[in-house]
Amino acid sequence: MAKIIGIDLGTSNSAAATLEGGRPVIIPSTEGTTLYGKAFPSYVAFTKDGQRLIGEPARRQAVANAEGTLTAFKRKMGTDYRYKIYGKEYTPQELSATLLQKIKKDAETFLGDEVNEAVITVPAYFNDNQRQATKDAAAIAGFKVSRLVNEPTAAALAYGVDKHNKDMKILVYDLGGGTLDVTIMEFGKGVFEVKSTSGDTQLGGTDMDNSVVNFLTDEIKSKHGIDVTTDRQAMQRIREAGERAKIELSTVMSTEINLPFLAKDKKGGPFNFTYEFTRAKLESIVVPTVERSAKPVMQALKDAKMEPTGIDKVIMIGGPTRMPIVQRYVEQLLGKKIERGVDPMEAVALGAAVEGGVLSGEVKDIVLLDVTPLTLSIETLGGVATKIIERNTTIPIKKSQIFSTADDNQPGVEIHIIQGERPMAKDNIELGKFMLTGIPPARRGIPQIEVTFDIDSNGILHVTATDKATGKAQSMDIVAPHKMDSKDIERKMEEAKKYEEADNKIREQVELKNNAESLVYTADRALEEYKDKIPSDVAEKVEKAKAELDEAVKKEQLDRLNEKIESLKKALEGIGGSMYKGGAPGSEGPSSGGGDGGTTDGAQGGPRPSDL
Amino acid sequence: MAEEKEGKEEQEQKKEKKEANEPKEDYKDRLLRLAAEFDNYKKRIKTDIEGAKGIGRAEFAKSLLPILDEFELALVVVRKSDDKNMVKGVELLYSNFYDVMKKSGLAEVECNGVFDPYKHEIVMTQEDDAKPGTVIEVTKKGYTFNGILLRPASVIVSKEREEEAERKNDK
Repeated sequence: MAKIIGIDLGTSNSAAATLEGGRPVIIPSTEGTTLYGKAFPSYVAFTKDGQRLIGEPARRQAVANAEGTLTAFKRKMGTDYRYKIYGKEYTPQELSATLLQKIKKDAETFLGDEVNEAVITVPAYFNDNQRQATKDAAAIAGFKVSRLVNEPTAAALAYGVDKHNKDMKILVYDLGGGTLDVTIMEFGKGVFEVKSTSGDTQLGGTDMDNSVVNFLTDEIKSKHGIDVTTDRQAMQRIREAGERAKIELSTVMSTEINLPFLAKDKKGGPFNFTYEFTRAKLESIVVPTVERSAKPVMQALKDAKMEPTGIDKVIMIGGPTRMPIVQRYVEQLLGKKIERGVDPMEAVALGAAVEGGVLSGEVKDIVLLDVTPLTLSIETLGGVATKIIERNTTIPIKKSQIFSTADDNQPGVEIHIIQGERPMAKDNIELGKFMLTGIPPARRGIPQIEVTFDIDSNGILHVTATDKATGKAQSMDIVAPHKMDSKDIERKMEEAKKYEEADNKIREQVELKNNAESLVYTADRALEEYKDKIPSDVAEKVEKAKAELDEAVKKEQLDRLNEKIESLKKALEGIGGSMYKGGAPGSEGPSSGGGDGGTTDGAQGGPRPSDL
Repeated sequence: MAEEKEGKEEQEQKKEKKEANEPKEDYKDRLLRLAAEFDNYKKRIKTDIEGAKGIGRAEFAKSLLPILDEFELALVVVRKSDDKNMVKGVELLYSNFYDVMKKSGLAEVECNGVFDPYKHEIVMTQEDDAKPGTVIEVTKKGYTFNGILLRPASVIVSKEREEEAERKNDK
């Protein structure tokens, strides 16, 4: 089954994606714009010495080779325009084909297999000529075009709009480096239909970047009286710092721009520029640019004969739409929250890959795997919820953990199965409980009870508890433990978040108490077992420390527990010390934790498995 | 007649059997494909993790470049000072910092006059007597990190003097 990749053949940037295990991923580009190399600039250059450069290297030499460097040739697709370079003529199709050839090579490297078919995206407003030209470009590059998909449609596919089984109206706001495209589509019965398109070819992220640079240079001039606009190096640093600040201000409210030794001050000394850049300030700078997008959006609505309230989904694509100001502005304009969750720079390529997967039949082949929406745990000593299967684990899954008893000669354990994120069992949902009885008499911590959670592909949870010594087992099936609607799950998650701090405190206290009790037990056992070998003064010390700890536990003096635990541990060390001095051969030094064997869940801090 | 009927029945049975087996084959095929894809995925993830470690370090190194630049700018100013000990101290500080970066894999992009679009970025052209297209000035150093290009060097390349070009055109 050959892969059909998805290609976003853009005016200024291009990217490609493929399906992997049913999910679209970006194919990394060699010589990309970032270290990860996801997208690359749509540049092609021919040098005087006959080299052909594609992508980033082509862009880097553009200044010195303006006549041999080409970009934005997508705008000429479908026309008879010829680019004349050093005596040779190139059609826009041929130039687009060079970009596609690079993508083909990158994809083959990534997939380790030949790639011959692709879904390519085109703007919704492309006419038949332009679409045919795109197909021709693909043919030149050695691609069979499985389908041409409109860019906004691909973005909608990346957001999984086609999976909703209902009709809806979608507005796609595509703000690139230099242009804004607005498309309104209607989706129904698996088909996308473009209702209207509108745009502004002179509006984009570059305008915003320039506004920021202008603001900063003005600031330097007015506050410090220094003109940096003629200093190439300083300007480059300001531009980079501005871009960094712009990205940072998408997540924080303010950031500091520090540019030491930016220029010379009036006396010829070093000038250090520092500026506290706030999100509010940035927004005031870019708002005039963003506000210009109202017109095309309203025009598109008007052409589609719609009101903003008629829009069901708003999808944003293009790098500048990452800025909160742009998102907020569009949300206010349309009175509707935008869709989130897919990188707006990658959405189009990802959506094209999804379409490629549908066409190759790969999507049908994928067994859709479910996940457990909430953590599944069992209750252990002190009412603690001990996790067995964490939330978001892909099913089917089987996981086991070994537990032990909490008391000497405990004949049975109760397995209490719960679901939820809260650390204490009582705050979560109870799914069921059962007893495993007939455990042979043994000291606490010695029996090994293996608890297995097995969720099958139908979502049925099989819980089994086995006493490893006797092989005795007991089990229970819980049908569809995670049949909750998404609202319930969301509510549960919010609850867990809200109570996180308080819950963890309680859990810590319980664990501390458990540790204390366990230590008292160990001390008792040590005193009894080695009573002949322990000097009386040591025994006294242990007795005293033990009594104090016991009292603190019983009186729930939680703040004193840590200190008392430490002093008892210290006293117990005395036992070991005196016994080695006495040279008891082969005697086992009592350790503070007691018990042995089995996997521990680590939560208790001691070597003992959780007690049931 | 009876024989013919029997043949028909046999054929139908065969057909049914084949139809019954089809979904089984289909599932087996899907399972194998998925298993193979998963196996390949595991292999790729392994190299990806190794790569990610390198990329993570490279990302970090990249984030230090502006500081390295600023340090060099500071050095220029500091060297003008009369306090020789202070100058020496700052120079040592710089060389310690640079050494750590170098040992981790940082290397300066070479600019030996020949422009290389895979390592250099032209910020402007300047009329010069040198052969057109020669790198005549580096305005910002470029760096690689264990072979990964962190930042191309910003360079100024030469272009033909106008009168020279005109003279050629006249010919």
